[in-house]
Amino acid sequence: MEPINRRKFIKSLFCTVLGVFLPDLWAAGQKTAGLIRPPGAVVEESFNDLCWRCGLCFKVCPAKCLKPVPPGKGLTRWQTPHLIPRQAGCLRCGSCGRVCPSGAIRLVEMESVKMGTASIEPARCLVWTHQKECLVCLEYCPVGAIILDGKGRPVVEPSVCVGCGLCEQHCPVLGAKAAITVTPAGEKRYYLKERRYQAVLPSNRKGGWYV
Amino acid sequence: MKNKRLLRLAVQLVCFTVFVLLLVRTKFPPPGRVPAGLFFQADFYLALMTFLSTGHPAPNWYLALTMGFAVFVFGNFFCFWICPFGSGVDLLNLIFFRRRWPLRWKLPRWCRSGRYILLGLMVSLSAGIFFRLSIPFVAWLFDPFGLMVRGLTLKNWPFLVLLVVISGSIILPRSWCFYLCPLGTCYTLLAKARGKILSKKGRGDGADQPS
Repeated sequence: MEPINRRKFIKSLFCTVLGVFLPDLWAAGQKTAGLIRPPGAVVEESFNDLCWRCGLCFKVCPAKCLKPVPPGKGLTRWQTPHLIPRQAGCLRCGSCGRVCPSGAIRLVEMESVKMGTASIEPARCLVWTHQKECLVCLEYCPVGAIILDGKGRPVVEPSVCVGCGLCEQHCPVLGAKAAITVTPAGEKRYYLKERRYQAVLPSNRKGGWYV
Repeated sequence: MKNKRLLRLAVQLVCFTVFVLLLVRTKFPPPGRVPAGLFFQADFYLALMTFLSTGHPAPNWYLALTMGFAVFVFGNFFCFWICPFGSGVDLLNLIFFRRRWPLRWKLPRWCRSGRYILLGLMVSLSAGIFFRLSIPFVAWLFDPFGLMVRGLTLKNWPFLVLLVVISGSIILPRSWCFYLCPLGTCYTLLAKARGKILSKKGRGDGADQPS
């Protein structure tokens, strides 16, 4: 075997880095990729650049609802925090925003937080399909976003829902997927330039620094 | 000489203890007064990379700037006096090997330039945003504090990485610091810049001319 010299070392280092990250460069401009971010997270494109992946938010979270994003969801998002509501819902305590050293998660008013919106899948819901008496989601919802329709079936009021995922966590339907699921639809994010926590706007990024 | 060594060890012990204490105190409810991410915010490398990749200064960026300025004025005291990662390595070496390094390989000199290449690569990737490129933020991968906190909190593959890096560093003298650490490289460059400026001044005044 030939001994490695400096030129070969630099070449192989460069090729490895390029090979690992090149496929991901195209995905870098994508939107949230279905990830539910912690309350007060900055807008997705900046979030991936701002987050230092220190792991302090995972440590401080009392509900242990924040988990690191696996590499399969995109290397740009790898190890950033996201919520898996089926495992644990967010208590909206704001601890993650308080300890985040990078400013990727901001401390915002918890009354204005919106991480996503829950939606009921009638085909899986015990009340909708089997006419069973189950109102677990309604009982666990901390903001009263789940109401009953005329026939006593639960429906979500999207304007009230904060996307905390407590309903999804406690849904008694067996399996990995609950009858009620939270998606990032309608979420709010912190915009760095405007210094405002507001509903997500369509991305205007064509390269260059983010807004 | 021995007194200086003892003093250095005492300072390292204090810094390492502060780091561990801050990490242990990062739990719900989060501490209000002492920021949990103090070491991260004083991290010159992360502050620089964040500014390059987002165009926005990191929170409490003046801490990082102060540290950078202190290194520029007093030389690179950080790596062997303050750095909790280096302190941890030195303390573990003291405990397990009594300040003897089991491996004393003479690696080729160009191996040490690997860390300059790595830092250059990180700067180029972060600054790619200047050229309207969507390059993922990867600087976090090599930050020593992130490596430590992730390893101690996530207890999964990050813990294994930390274990490998630390065991490598206590066997081969400070291998991480000498061959990879981009934070240390930043400070080394700052200290070198100071040395260059001082020597130029010295030449101008004739102060360092042989008598």
